[in-house]
Amino acid sequence: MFPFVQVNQNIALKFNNEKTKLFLVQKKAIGRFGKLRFNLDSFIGEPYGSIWKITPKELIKINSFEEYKEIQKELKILETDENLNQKKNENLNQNQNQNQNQNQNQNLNENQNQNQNQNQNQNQNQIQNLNENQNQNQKKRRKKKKKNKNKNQNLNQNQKIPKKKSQYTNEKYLIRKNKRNIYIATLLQTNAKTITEANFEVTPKKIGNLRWDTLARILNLSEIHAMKKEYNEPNNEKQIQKIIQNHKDMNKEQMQNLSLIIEQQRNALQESGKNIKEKEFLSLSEESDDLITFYKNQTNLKKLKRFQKTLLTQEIILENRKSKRLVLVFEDCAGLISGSIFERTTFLDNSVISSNLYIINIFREKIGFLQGALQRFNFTTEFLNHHLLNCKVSWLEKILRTKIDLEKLNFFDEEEMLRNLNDHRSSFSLISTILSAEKASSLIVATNEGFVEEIFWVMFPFLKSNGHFVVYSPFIQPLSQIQYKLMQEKLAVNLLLSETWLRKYQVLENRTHPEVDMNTASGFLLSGVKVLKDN
Amino acid sequence: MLSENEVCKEGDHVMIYAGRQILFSVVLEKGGQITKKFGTIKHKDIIGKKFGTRLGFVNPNYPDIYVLKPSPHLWTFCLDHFTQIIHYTDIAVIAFQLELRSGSIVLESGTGSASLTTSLAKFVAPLGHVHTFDIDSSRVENAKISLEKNGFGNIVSVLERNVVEQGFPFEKEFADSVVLDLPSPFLVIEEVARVLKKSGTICSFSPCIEQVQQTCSKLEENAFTGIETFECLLREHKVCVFGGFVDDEEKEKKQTEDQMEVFEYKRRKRKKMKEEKKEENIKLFTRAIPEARGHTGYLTFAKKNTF
Repeated sequence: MFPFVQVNQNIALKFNNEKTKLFLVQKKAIGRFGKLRFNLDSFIGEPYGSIWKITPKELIKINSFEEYKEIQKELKILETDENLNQKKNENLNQNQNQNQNQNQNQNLNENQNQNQNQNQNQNQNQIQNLNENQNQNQKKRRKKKKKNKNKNQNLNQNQKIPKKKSQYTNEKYLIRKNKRNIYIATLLQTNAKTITEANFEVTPKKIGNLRWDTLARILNLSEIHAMKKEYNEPNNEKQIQKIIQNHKDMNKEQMQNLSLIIEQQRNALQESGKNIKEKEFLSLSEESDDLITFYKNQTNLKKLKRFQKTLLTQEIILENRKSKRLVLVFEDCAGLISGSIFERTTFLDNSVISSNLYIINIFREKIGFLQGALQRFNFTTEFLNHHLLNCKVSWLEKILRTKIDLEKLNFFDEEEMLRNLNDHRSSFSLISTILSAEKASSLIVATNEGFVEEIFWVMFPFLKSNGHFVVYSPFIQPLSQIQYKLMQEKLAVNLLLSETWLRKYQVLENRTHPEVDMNTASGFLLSGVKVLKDN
Repeated sequence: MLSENEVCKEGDHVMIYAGRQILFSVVLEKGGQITKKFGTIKHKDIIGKKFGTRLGFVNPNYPDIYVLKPSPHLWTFCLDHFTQIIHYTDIAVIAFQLELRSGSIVLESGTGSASLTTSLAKFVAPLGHVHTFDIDSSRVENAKISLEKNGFGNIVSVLERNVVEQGFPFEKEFADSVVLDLPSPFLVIEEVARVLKKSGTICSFSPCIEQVQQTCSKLEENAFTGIETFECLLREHKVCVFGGFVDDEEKEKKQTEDQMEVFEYKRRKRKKMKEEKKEENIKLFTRAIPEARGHTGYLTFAKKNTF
């Protein structure tokens, strides 16, 4: 969305094309990765996709492909055949030297044996001469060992290495040590891909053990897409602003005319919004009566602004209900699924990020939690306040505590189901109006815990016919029970219970093979299409 | 596929579902009818009904028949497989790694049966666009027909062109992402580097590892970063039910005398459970389906540099 990094924005850095980590860019903030420490100020104003060299001492931007290759040579990431052959030759030479020394020792031993056989008939003088020669040879050997020791010590300064290692292994050790402190990092935007990669390796529980390929399948199977723009949302806001500006210099006659307008608006709502509850109308009508009296007596304007805003927003919601696309989401994955849905369905319109999709997020944490998690995607609070409707699970929890008897739940009478639930939703008038007027087009349930079944059966009646649903859990048992009930009652079609097997490959010349370490826990998905049941 | 209609109308493109093996698409007409193994269905019976209804026609030898709205997921099961089709798990992985969103411009080489193009179009709609190229003229025509049926006529443009020899007919830094489904994708990478925007993404789908090796080496030469190759396979599970009420008295009569005692005990227990209407004996087990795809293709992803 944003081509350059800005202050108070979240970024992702991928180190050596292996590990990713998220950072928040602020002034005088320091980023940490292992033993590295670097200033995040230097990323401000830089484009996404740029490549950086990070060491404990410096942070440099790479501006050309030639520099990039040179740095890779330093790390010896790209080990070409020439380098390998050189090392092999060095190894062979060392081995040959060792073999020669061994052969020399063998020859000496053989000579010693021969001499010994000859010496049986010699005199003492001759024996002494032989012993002196042997001592001289031993001294020479000791000198050679000392020389090799000195060489090794010079290479292994301040390091504790066993003495038996060869020169080649010591060089390799130093290369690895230097490699640890040099990193090539790519500056990336925070999106679903980078956030899952950053969290899955380190703290998978935050994400609910959700791997990126299962997330991709959830987004694909739930059939969520951006719709055509049929309503003019910003124009309505402009209308509100114009009305507010016009109120500053108003006469008595104008104020009285406003009271008439408010009555007309209220009556129009009453006619159009028949699905709105009576309680809400009563509350709005009481406010309107008070305001009409206020304007007749020329009193406070602030209340009018609030009232008109509420009226106009209600109008917008009701008018645009048809062009809206609802998605019900229950997730235990730190806002990953809802954020990825928004990411896929948003578009830029006159430098404003907008979407024709609305998410009703049902969750067990505090209301502010998910908005904070979604800010990692760099969505503005205005966008989230408009498109994300957070619903507390207090009413769901009551039902869960009473232990739903699935046999008593009549799957035919969805209206009875809704009536039973409406009693618990008195505090969420807006969500109740939306859900009672129109049902959701897709449903997603993703948890890391064992209560998947109960939540699914509470949310399932709010799904349209021909609506796609996806249920994720790291355990297969609850999903199999859900599938059995759906098949028994013939409530869904195209049911699929599956998991994915993902494998990464190392592709190099003459050395391509799959990676040794592999993650096999992708979780299980149950997907299907809801179907109308014959009464 | 992009419409939000809930009721079937004349002229709508509709899917008729009776299991994954019996799945086909139909364009509704006034006097039309469908004739298949399970019988005939008139379009009159479908028009005016909501998507997701069970049709009144039922053949006991066949499963229930439903009317569904077309989706890319179901569309892949309908298509005639002119070439090796890309599986829907690979499609999900491709869309995720390429970071597709509404408004992005995608180039695809090798349309084939247009299964991937339909899903790409859905991800990119309504403000984006997909440009596909193929050598064979018949495939191009069939792809155009299927895409117009599904409502992607304005979002997708299909052209007959040999990308390896002629290249892409666009300016520098035109596309956000490129998808290659070619036998020799390594010959096109220089052209892709020209056409891609900075920090644009590329994906190449190839079944052989030799192709992957050559493409990766070419990507490195052309200053692409973040090169990764994956293989993603699907494993399906099946739910099996054991226990419950069995009324097969004929089978029980054929058992030997030694086994009759056991069956009599079970029969008494079942009678009790019938009276009490309990289903305690039912047990659910899941097992993996043994037949599965062992290999579809290798997916290589890379990003263009910002140098």
